[in-house]
Amino acid sequence: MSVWHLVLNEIKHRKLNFFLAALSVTVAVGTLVGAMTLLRADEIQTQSILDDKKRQLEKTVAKHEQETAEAGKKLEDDYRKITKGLGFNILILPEEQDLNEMYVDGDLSKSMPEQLVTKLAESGIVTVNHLLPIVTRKIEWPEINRSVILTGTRGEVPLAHRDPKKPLQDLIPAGTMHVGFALHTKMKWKKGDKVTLLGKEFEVTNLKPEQGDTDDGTIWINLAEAQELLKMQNLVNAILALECNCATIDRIGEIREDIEEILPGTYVVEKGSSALARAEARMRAKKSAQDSLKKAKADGEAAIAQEKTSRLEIRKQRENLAALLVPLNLIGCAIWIGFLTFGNVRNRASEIGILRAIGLRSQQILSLFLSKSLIIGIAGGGIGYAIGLFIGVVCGDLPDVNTATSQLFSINLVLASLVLAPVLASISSWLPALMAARQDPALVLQEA
Amino acid sequence: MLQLTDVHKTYSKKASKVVALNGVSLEINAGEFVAIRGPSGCGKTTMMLIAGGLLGPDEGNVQVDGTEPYSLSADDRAKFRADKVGFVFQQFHLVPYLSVLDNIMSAALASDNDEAKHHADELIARFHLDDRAHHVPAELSTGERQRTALARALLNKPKLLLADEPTGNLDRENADIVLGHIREFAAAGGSVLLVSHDDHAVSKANRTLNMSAGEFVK
Repeated sequence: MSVWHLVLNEIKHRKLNFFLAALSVTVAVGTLVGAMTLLRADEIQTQSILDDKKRQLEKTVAKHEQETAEAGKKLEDDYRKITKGLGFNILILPEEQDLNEMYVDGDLSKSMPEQLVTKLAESGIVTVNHLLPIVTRKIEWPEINRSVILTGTRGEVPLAHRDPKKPLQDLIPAGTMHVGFALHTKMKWKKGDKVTLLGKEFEVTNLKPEQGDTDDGTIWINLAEAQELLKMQNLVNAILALECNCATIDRIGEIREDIEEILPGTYVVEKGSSALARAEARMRAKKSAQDSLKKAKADGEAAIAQEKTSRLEIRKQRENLAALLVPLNLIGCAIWIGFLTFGNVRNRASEIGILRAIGLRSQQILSLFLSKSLIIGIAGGGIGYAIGLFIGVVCGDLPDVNTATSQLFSINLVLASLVLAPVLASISSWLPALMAARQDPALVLQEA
Repeated sequence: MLQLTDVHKTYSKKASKVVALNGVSLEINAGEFVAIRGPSGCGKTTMMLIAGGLLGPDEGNVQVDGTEPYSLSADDRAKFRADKVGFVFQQFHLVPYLSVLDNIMSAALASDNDEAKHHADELIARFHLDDRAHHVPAELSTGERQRTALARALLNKPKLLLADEPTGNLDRENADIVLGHIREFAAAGGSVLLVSHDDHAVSKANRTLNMSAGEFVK
């Protein structure tokens, strides 16, 4: 015979009292576990949604990256082909020429021997097609009191290893002058007009259309006459090579390599061309596509971050609600268990009286009630956990029940339920149990 | 065995006071069966509870088997009751959810009685409760319930048996059986204090005292 034997028999005898108390603990634990499991389910769902979105974004980005890479490759190929097809222009300058002077003032102060052009033409070079030696200088035109760029050219020097090609720029005969757009419109010159430059008379034979660059302020005359006027006999400032062709994308590098080998002491710069502009446009298009991809990626990441923030806010609201409801529920259940135990104590007054009379100590009476609370707590805690988990699985909105159960099951929460529920039940029934233990048996037996 | 000396007990209820015992003295020797007769409210039950260590007197001295129970702590007094005193009440006070055997054995919860089970089986046999050993009180006759209560009181082999109207709810036949067992206890050297207003029950005692208004009267 033991206290446990007494407790278990009493539970069997007063099933409703036990059921109601265990139900109360079940509700309390079920609510707590349900709330925690739902929050956990929400966390899993949030992670799953974010992972899905991230995967989707990565897939989209990877697809775009592939498309962009393919487009870029195609553009590069197009660029190479177009550049190769259309050709481009270069300037061969003396190595000591200050490029800043050329770009800022449109002037070339350094010169090199004119025979270099012949050397280049006879070198067998294949990357350049048309060679035009020029002298050019920014001068004050005293007769009309204006600054102009004077350019002297003699037309194409044929490449020795090829059939002479059609010259890209016709030879300017001696005594003639081609005039840039800004100048001839300002001076209101017409073809056939006679003009005097540095004391020498020229006939205007060509009025250039508007170019929108320094050509609009330039005059072109015969090379020999220009050399004479500028006192640069047998010297040139640059060799213009037009419609150059290269096999590789690094066309300027390729040409520099060729020219430096033939004409040491010179420097090659690329002169703007329509092909270059188109290639540049395509490069920009490619960059734009990359920027667009970058933006799409950033937008996607921002959307994921926003989704995360939004779900975190919802979670926070649910946590706040749970933080309010769960303690209220626990307090309600504790009070309910207290009332049930109090009722149990009253119903068992005579029993307690006789047990005290036959010698049971007050601690033994206390243990009768607390042991019962312990059993109620363990039963309610276990069932409450199962119900809470069930709520989480059913209402947690997770796709697969088996996976959801395994993901939501927590051994720590099981242990916490099995420990905290008996503690809750024992605390709740402590006061009535203490009243029972302190009951005066003489009073009870007299009243019975 | 039991010695009450000039015991006084007064119940205070609000403004009024009820004198339950007014200087009562009593001595019961080992093997003596003493009955106290008196009307309801004369103080019989109060005296029995005081003798059993359940209700402290206002004045006077109580000794049971050489021990003064009210000089002990509450827990020691509980142990004293378990070892020295057996109680039988008119209302039986059986634990409703325990079987006859478990009700008898419940007395062992409070003592260090290693032979409790063996003794319980003996009592069950002696009180003819063999076929009722595993029945709960609700399934027993009143006579069986009182025999069960008596067996519980005797499990720890007390020195003193206190019986408060033990036959009050019994018919003559069952009353005789119960009183017979009480007499047997006394004959075996136990001391019995029986309080009752039933003449038949009182007639079985070795000595009878009359009580009225908290005092013994002739």
